[in-house]
Amino acid sequence: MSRWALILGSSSGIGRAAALKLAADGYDILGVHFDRRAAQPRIAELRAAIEHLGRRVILFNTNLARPENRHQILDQLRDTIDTSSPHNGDSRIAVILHSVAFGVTRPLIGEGSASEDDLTVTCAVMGHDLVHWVRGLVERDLLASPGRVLSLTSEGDRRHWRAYGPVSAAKAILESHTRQLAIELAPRAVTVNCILAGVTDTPALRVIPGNDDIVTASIRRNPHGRLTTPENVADAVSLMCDPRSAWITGSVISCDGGETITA
Amino acid sequence: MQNDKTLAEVIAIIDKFSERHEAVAVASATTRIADLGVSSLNFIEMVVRFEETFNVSISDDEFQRITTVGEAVTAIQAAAQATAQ
Repeated sequence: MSRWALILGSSSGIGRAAALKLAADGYDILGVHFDRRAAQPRIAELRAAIEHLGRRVILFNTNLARPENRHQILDQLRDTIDTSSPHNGDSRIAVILHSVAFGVTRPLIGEGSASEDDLTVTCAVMGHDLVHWVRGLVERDLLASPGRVLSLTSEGDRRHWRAYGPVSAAKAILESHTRQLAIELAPRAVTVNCILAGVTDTPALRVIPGNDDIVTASIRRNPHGRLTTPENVADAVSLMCDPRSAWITGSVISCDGGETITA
Repeated sequence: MQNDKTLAEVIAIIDKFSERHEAVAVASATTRIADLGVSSLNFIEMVVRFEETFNVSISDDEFQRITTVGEAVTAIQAAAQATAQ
């Protein structure tokens, strides 16, 4: 039986780890990422690793800040995914993971602050796009039932991190959409949840101004004395795709080793 | 790779991602790209276009250094040299 997982932000960090984990779990992988040529060897490695696991993989390198690119990919998926074999189970997209780290980290006030466009685009790509992608799949009859919609948030959605304002706003949007979509997709047996990852050492973390301070503070207060790894979060994604998670929906689930409940 | 020709081509690409075409029309090597109406989120797509146009791979270090038009030209030339070696 063919099962597809669509991962938005698949080339590095948590998205990449989740792609590998879900491929190991038996999913074929659709990945969307946006990278320069320097990243292409890393992308080729990811493709080879998924294929080595015996799974199909289709990767799109495109700028998710442009809605027309999303439309193009969704139309291409409709032409690619064979939904005409009911004896073969539901071969539509069973998992969508929003792991996009394509936003602006700048202060909200003063010199070097985020522009109106920065705020709008960050909230669109890292927040509202969850709805746009899910809606695009539903409209094209590409979302499997049962299915899973997952996204990633961080502790920066509820406490101040320097220059994190635009992304923090986008994360708040994601969490809100998680609750709303959970109810609206319940009749389709699609659960919707948001994983609150502890501070995780990823390329996205490294572009946040003052990330060294965030890392130091996290290691100090995490009861395990270390950061969360992308693989820790990928394991949580995998767990949430288990059929036994079917009653968990509309939730923000911490995956942080206890970090956010320490002082 | 000739400097003036590369500069002209770089400015032509920037113009495609700019919302301030009048500023791009008078841009020079010292002009900050951010002052040309290229949004932060269009910046990476613009650099991808540099790579495609000049058939180079700009390193992460060179990418981080790009703030002016001239620095974009330097990054492209450095990448072209690295490819030729």
